[in-house]
Amino acid sequence: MNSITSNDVGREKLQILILDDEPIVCKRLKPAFLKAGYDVETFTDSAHANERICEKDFDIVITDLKMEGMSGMEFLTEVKNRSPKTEVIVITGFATLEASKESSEKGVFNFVAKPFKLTDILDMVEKLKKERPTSNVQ
Amino acid sequence: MKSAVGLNINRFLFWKRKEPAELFSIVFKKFRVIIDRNVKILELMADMGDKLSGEYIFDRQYILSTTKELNALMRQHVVDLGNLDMKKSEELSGSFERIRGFIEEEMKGTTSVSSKPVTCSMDDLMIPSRHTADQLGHENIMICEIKQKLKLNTPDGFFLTTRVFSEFMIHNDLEPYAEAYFGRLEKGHGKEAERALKDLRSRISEGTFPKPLVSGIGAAADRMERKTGSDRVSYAIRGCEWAKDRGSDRALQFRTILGIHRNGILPVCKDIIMDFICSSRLHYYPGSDSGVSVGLFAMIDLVTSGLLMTLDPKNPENEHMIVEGAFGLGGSLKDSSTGLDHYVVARDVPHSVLSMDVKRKDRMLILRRDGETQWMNIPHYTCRAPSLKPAQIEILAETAILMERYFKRPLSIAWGFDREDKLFILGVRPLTILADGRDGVSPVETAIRNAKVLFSGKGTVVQSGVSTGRVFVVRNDEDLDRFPQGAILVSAQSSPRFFRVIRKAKGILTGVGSSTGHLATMARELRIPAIVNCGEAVKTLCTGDEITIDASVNVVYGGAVKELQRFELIEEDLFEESEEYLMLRRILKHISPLNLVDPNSRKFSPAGCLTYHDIMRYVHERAIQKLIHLSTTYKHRRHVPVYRLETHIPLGIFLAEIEEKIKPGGGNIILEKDVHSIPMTAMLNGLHESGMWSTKPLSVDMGSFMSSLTRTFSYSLSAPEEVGMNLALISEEYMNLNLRLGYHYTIIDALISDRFEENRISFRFFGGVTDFSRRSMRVRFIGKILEAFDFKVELHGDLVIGRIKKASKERMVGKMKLIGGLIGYTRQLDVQLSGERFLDACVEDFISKIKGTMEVDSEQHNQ
Repeated sequence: MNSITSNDVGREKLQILILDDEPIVCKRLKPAFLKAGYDVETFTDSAHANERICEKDFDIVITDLKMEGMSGMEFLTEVKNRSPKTEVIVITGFATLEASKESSEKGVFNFVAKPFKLTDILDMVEKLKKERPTSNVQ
Repeated sequence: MKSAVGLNINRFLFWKRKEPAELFSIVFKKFRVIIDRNVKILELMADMGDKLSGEYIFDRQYILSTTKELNALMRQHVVDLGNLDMKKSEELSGSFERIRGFIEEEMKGTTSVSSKPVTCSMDDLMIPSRHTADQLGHENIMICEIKQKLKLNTPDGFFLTTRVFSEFMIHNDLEPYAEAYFGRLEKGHGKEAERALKDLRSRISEGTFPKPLVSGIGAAADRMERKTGSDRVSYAIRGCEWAKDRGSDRALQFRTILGIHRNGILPVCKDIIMDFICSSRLHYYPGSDSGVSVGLFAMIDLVTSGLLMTLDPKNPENEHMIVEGAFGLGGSLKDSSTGLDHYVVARDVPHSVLSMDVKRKDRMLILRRDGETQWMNIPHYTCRAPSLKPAQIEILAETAILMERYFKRPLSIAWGFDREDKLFILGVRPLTILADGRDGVSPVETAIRNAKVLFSGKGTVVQSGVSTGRVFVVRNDEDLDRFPQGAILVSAQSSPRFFRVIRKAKGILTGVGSSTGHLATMARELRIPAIVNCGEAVKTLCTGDEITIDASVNVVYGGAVKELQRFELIEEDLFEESEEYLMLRRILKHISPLNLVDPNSRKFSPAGCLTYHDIMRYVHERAIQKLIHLSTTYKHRRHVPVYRLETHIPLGIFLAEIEEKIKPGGGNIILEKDVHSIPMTAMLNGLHESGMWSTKPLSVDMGSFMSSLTRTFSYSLSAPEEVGMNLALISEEYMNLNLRLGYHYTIIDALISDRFEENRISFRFFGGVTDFSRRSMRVRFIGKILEAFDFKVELHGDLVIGRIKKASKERMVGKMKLIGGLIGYTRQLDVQLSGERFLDACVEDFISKIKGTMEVDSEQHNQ
């Protein structure tokens, strides 16, 4: 796990979990979200990410789909089961209509095909932040 | 016998003459496929190039899948050439496989031990395929980049690659002894481990280097002697670690051994290997993916030397640099008996000295004429003098900031001034700012929240990164002469002339330009945060304004947001150092450059294809040549429907009819009135009716003229005589036109019928004779026009793509007239477009002229 977080007590900042088995994705998203004022935890292994969601509810989960072991679809299902309020954004290099449809049925907020612009995903999360109840957000 | 032979020849010729009718349909079909595939290939190449800007998140999978797609397209191109020319196709297949092999090697990343070179000169290193950290270690690559890219002075030298280390280990069978030592250490058997270490040390000390390595090292030393003109080159030798799982900031720091002649190289290498294997920090362990390379740098007679840290690791929030200096060679710094001067210097221009602590320096290490080093006492009247003069501090600080900006992280720099006051960079490594320090930095999000956003999302990011500085607006060459060190270059234009000052610039913002332009390439090479094509937004900035560019998210803030810059500096992972970035960059070197320019040149051959772009160009040219050849060779035969279109305007178009509806009898010439193709007729009508084709000669200003002489040649910019003729494939409802006029290239693919759901027009335009900013302005002009008339528009470099589909036949005819008008109007527009104001005026002028031609759309634009 690669974790840079503020304390969980205040819960002032939106808590984001990023899961992608390609380290470059986590390495590039993490500083961008930190800079924008979010707390970020990144994982390249779905099993570890799954352990983490058992310990903590995240506001937003950004996950890849195709991974070894637990797939992204299984992971996001688990996320939604545990914390229905958590918004999920899927990022995938294998964007198919079926995967998009299935994600949508599972309540995924957005489905993004890789490669994508850094600003696009930041804007997406910013939009989510604005749409969420203000009590949770700074 | 003679007559029999003659008969056979005649029979053969008879058979040959019948061939073209069948052949043409194949060639024609293949040509159509090749054109479509060319478009896909160009778009993929542009897409891959865009990814280097840092604006996109991409992964290894993207590189793999895009390259796979490109490989498949190229392979099919080669196969299709076989239908036109089997011999050339076979030759081209060889070139394709060679290039594909290079790309595959690049994707694998590391090279096997046996394929690594033994030595490597500093000048060789920028060849991308050799630019691998596993051979040289990060620090050695950094020093090469300082020399090659930043053009700073470094000592001359060469490197022994990690192969030397690997082969030394194998040759002396050292792995089992290393395993024994590390095994005992792990088990906590202290005394046994100590004994094993002693054994290992003695085996390294007694070890020998394999003969081929010894000769390789000797040859490299010979080359150095020839280069320096001395047979007694004296070296400063330093080890450099490479470890797959460790970044450059965590690599083992080796001491530098000074004044070593060639006969001392191998013993020093053994010391370095010993330091590496037996380091108490356990950087090496058996089976680990790590190694050590050795840098050998020619000694320089330095009068002052020292270390500089671009950020104070204890107080990174203070915008200070720390400089330590002493007289003589770098070795003086390690001497505990001599004091070191300590300077605190501002990071901002003019790099004021904030504090200075000059110590008494009793002795210094000097370089003797014979290349040996020697300690020498410093006379009492100079021992309290500062080791650095104010001017030296300023140049040192400027250089350090330039290096930091390039490497995007705080640095520890070893430096020295020679007797001619020339600054040399002796070594560099990233400075570790501890995570605690990071948390101590003022929260970046608060700083961002409080900062004033001047504009965001306005242009195209060509190099990500953060930069704070004062704006300097460049309008002309005189402004370039006055461009100050460390300013942010702001210009409504984009020009290759900016190259003159780019090394001084901390950031770049331009009104025009694209991610594939010349300026973008330069900014990327020097890693200067840059956003181009910001349009009018740059006009809100004035010389002297302090701003902060955050190109990673395409935002420009008013004032200095220092926290943002510091945040970027202490980022753990750099995009430009990521495996994916380096891999994509290496791969693109085998894909994008165009070497085949002139079809009449001898090099225009399958063997001359060095990149995928070359292959694409070659196949395309051969296909066009084949079609034209068939039409001219068999012009008397009615079943070869290729005609030269006679127009009042010199377009040089050959028409190939898919449905063969042109009535025979007129030879190989066809008049406009006899063309029965809805899209082609509409386009020609648009060209005539709008009166856009101006035959008046245009005055070319000196800037665009010079640019046309100096600009790098590319496929899209080839002159017509080097390219061949223009070919249009037509049917009653369809047109595909590849048109080169002057130096720009237009591809139009249109289907217009009563079945509106099938109707489509795709328009591609690229190239031009002038500098990039003007070409880019023309592309923006076209983009604005197409958008105004409902086309969906994409811009990639100086390529503009406009698409429209599923409109009524009447509307589509109107669009084709618009395109006809555009072809005429834009013919020499890049020469005319001298500024942003002129662009807007041209857009208005064009719309007013075209309205009368496009009955349907003009209603819309009158509203």
